[in-house]
Amino acid sequence: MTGDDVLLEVDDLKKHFKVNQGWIASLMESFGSGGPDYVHAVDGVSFELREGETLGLAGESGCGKTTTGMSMVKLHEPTDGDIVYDDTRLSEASDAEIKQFRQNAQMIFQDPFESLNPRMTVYDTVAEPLRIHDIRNETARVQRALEFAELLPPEQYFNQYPHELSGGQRQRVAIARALVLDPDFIVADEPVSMLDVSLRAGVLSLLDRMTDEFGLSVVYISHDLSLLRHMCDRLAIMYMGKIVEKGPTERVIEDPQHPYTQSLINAVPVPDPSVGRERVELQGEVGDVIDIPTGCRFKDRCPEYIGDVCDQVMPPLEQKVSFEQEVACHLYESAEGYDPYEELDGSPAATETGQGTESTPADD
Amino acid sequence: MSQLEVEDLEVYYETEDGPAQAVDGVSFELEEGENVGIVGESGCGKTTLAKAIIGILPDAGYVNNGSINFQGDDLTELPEPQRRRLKWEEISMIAQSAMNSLDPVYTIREQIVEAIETHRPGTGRVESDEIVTEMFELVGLDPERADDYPHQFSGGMRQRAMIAMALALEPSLMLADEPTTALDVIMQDQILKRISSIQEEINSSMLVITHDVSVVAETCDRVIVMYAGKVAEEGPVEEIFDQPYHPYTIGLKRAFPNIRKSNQDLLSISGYPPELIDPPQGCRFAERCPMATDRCREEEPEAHLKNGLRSYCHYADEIDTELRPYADDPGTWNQTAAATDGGAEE
Amino acid sequence: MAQEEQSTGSVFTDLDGTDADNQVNKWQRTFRLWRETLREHWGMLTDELSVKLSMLTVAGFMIVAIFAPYIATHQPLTRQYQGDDGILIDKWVEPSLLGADSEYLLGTTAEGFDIFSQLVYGTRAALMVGLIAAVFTAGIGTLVGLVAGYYGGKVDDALMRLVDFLYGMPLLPTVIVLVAVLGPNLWNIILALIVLQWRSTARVIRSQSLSLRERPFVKAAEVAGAGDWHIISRHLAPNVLPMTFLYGSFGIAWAILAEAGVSFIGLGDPNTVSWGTMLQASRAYSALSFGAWWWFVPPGICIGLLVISGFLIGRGYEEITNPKLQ
Repeated sequence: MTGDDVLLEVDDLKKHFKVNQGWIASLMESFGSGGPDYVHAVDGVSFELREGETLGLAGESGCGKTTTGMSMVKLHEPTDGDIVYDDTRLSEASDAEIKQFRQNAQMIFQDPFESLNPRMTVYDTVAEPLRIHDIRNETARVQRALEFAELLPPEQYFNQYPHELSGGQRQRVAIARALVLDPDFIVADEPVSMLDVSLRAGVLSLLDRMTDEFGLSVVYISHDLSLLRHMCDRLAIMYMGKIVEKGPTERVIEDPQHPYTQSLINAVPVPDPSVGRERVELQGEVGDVIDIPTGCRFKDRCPEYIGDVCDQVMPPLEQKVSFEQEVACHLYESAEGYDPYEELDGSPAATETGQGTESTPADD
Repeated sequence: MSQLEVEDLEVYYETEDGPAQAVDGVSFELEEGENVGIVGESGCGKTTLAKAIIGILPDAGYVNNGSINFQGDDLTELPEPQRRRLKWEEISMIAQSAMNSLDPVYTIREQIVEAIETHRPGTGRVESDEIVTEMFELVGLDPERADDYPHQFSGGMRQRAMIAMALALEPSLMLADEPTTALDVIMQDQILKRISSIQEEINSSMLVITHDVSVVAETCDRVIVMYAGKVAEEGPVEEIFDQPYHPYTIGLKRAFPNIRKSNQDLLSISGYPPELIDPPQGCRFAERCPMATDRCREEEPEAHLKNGLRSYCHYADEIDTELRPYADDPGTWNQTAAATDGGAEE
Repeated sequence: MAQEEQSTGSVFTDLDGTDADNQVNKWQRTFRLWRETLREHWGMLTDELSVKLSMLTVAGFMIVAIFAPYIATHQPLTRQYQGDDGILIDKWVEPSLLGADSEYLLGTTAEGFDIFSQLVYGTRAALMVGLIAAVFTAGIGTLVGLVAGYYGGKVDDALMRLVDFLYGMPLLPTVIVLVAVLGPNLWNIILALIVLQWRSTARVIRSQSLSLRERPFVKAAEVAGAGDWHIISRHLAPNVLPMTFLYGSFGIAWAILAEAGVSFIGLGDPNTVSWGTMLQASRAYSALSFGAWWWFVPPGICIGLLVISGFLIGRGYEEITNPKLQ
């Protein structure tokens, strides 16, 4: 079913957004009154996307999953790190290579009402990518794409405008548009969250079919863990711009290791009144993504906080000894020989914090 | 006598093409201290129902028929001033998006105090402040922060401030309209927990309106499933989830993925809800129901009592005996999906 | 790439190799997109009675302008003489419309020009100024706004600073200065107007463009590999078009008013007759104190009608740009 070939690699991706200051503040800052503030939306994320697999990026709002997804289709230029596709590092790719890449990387957005240009017919919307890349056989391909998206008969939809269609139909048009170039992978950002529940399974089954029948890889971004469990082969949980746990979906959901993942899963309501759920009491709020704290980002809320090492040393995402998934947590022993306690009594340079912060960690 | 008795309520909206029958003959009861969930998808009429009960229907909306009896008074007949008094003091509402309900130029304290003053004029400042502190503690907010502005609160905190405001006058009935839809999972969990404990503490009853069946499963005693302006099924939460007697409920239940289960076969109901302006003659769900017969299309179903549930399906009895395995199988539904058009014309 | 190495094939494998069939011409489709947009606007506009009337008014004026030589009874800047011997200039003649015994419908001016003919030919100047200025201010403003909004950053900053600079200059006084410097000529007036007026359109279109740019369908085009110009012309422009037309309509009104103002103070084109020059002349010769209201009231009414029509059509566009409708 899934090949083990790696289609795309995200290599230590970082995306920082400068906090808007206005030009006077920018001027003043060039006179040295402190550096600009950055929102560390994605702060060192690495993972692989394999052929034919559905990978889930999960997390709450602000964790960086959408920014990661958008970076994968080059809607954002990385601040640091890279996307590696077909053995090419995209930051070093030529314009022609990037254009080629764009034929293979597509995206579906959350809001079906905003995904389509209100001034373009369905035909034009779906045909546009073909025209951009000068692909022949336009009408046949548009037809086929609409058929696959279960908008039948396709001809009936050719001349319709988005406002004549329902939410579910619009999302299907968006899917047809994403598929028409026959891409290698699609990033789906909450594709069904704005659709009625009874319609979701139908749209999701389209993505399933693409994966099963044609080997398409899907990166599914969502905060809905129930859905992700249903759809994804592998799952990566994100928190404050970093991945905290990553591995096969079954493992991550059935046997979560990172305290955040555990809280997250415990917090998901279940459509079954007879199931008692251990309610989670997670204090506080998500931390400040501008002024990144030292050490582990979850330390202020973590019920399993173990002390200085959590405070000062940022846990890397790595393979641990006792289970299958990769986790970024000091609770577990590393299978790669990494010892965070070494860094604890060591030099400031040993710890990695986000760039742009002023304080040097472990300096006390 | 129940605290809230809705009888044959019809709420319509004026439109260019004629009245849209958003709520078309809905009846149910709510006892004191009970927590009832109203579940349905877009266009089913649940929000209209809530607005009608509270009395905040837009200009184009009106009650065509039926009654809303709250503690003995028929709200549809009540004159405006009395209606207004009821709002907040007896019945209050937690809106969907706190962001839009809090005035950004006033502090939270000021807004709560204003609500108190409006409905209970003469409440001194001291007493109002006490209420604010009490409410903040009830919802788990730091009372010291009552003088902050809404934008200084995070999303979850704002929602809690909204709840504090709704509770300030200790209403006997709370309406929560999609209280957690805009929130993240962990915040949602905390808010739901809060709402449940608050409800117990002040012994108010609650009407939760949502499209999320899981929320209802976890917080409600009884459930009303609505479809296209009518009630499809109603009953205690355990029974409805365990063995529903209406095809729509059966389908809806299987459309929600359960995080505790692997390898689920999710169900998709093809087609779209009917037009509210010219609703179909028979059962509203007949168009999308894989088991619909001619009788369904022609005749509106009546209430069938089964097992403590009320189901509005002609074949409620048959579901018990022969139809259930057929209805429970996603294949049945997906077959209809493949056969009919992937998307009907609007 | 897409399907070569896939052992599982793709949705489209059986399609490649077949002939390219009816590839609709790219330009045809772009044209069609714009045509459909305009048609939709037309429908919505003409729904409103005031807009219908305004459009009829403007159409009426346009007909008068086009057929001016046939409608006017005399040449507008030719002195009229009394009688057959042609010695005495026919000045201050009362209008025949009011019952006087004269051959001039609206009488003549103090210099012996036929007022009615001046009025008729004045339509040309008004419409020329109005339409040309409107087209260019809306056009340039939209282009600048689209580019600034789309590219953002330094481009946006630079362009908006330019717009800020232009905003600092008051309309009429600047036009007056420019015309005084360049010479009192209808074209110079139009030029001066264009140079200043595009600023408001640019501002508004820029903000629309900025927000449109972030909408998912634009991002989808980016992901599909669309170039900058493609996005601007096919995604941003059609969606800002209603705003462009709105400002265009208002632009007509403003341009006509500005021209009238400039002419009124004497900087009008002496070789062309316009309603503004008529007003200027009537004031210069104190028509008011002579009671010759038929000299300045008709041009005043015409300016008023055309300007109001321009505004009402613009207001009709407000309906279309109302986001609730989309």
